[in-house]
Amino acid sequence: MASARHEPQRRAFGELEQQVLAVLWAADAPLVPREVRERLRDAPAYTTVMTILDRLHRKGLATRERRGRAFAYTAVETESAMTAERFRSLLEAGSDRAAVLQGFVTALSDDDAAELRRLLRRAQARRDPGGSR
Amino acid sequence: MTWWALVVSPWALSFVAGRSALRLARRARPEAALRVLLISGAVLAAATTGSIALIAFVGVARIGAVAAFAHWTGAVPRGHVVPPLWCTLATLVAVGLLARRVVRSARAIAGTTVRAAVLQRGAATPIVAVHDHQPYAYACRAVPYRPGVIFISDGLRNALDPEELASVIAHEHAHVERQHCLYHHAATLVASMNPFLAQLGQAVDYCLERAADEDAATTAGRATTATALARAALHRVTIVSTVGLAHARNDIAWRIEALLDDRPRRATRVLLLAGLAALAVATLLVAAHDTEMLIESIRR
Repeated sequence: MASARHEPQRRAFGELEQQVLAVLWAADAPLVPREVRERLRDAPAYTTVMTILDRLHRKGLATRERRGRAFAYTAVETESAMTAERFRSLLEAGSDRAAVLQGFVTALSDDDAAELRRLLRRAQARRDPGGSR
Repeated sequence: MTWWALVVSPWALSFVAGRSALRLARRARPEAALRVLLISGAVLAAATTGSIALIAFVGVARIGAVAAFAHWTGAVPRGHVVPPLWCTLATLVAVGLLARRVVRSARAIAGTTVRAAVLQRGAATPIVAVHDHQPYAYACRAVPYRPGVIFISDGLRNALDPEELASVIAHEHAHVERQHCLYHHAATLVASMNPFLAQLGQAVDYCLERAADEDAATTAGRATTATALARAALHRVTIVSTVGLAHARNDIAWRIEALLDDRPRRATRVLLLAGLAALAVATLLVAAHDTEMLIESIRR
């Protein structure tokens, strides 16, 4: 019920490609198409995943190696050309953070930590235990 | 007297709008809230700008030398309170200060765009790793309609499991894909035109994060996105000094609760805000008409 509430209409191909890339990037080991498919929210067709992986490979965004009868894919990693300090100071420069959109989280005060832990436990309890892996 | 009430009312209305913007942002669906906040914010900012221009205009018109130059020598009709000289001067100072605010925020927008371009240049892939132990993720798109880049620090990567990380990437991707920087720029400009609308700008930022959260939730699931948020927040060392929302609770907590809470969201405040904006325009139009009559009558 909860997951069906916001039923996305067929996702655009580019969006799916982005999601596959995110899955590859987040994974700690090379993934075969089946594994990629399992990690996508509403699993698209196997052939779709294969097509996307192949496309990412041709674009140079993923490398692949043979594993049995399938290819296992890894996201090509690039690093920021800047040092961490320079990167951070660039983000900090100026109080307005417009185009460099503020990241995933904002500043956290000590008082909120306890509440966040409580919310984290609540969220963890909600996360379906066997359905995702 | 009525002229004064009319001409000042856009400011009063935008004060109320600024006050209710955050609560609206927390109760409505993010996309709906964004639309209403930005449109009514722009309308209110335009109305208050018009209002202060009117006051300044009438004030200057009544200064003896100016009136003589323009042959405005007629008598002021009854019921019209002409701004005294000190009021005119104060208004002119306020106009100058507001103009400076707008110029500053425009310059800040240009600055961040340039910085984003610097960050973006040399990024060979859509996702780039930053070797930094502090946990953060950034979406970066300097110019609309050019591909954006997502930066993710090693610190964040180590703090989250693969599924949570994928949800962070989806969140940042939503910022990039949906041109969120344009909304943010617009809200910044609106807030600079009228200080009462500063909270409206914050509300827009909150809605942008919420909209990205919802996108991440459709990709990675609501609960996973929520745990990613909580974990990232708990790991976070403050990097960017943000203006804290004037509320006891942290922004993140609101966002997590919104993700965990599936209740359909209604927003009667949407109507309130739209109503305030419409009213501001209406009163300003009447005030402008009144002013025109005043000028007509004293011209003879």
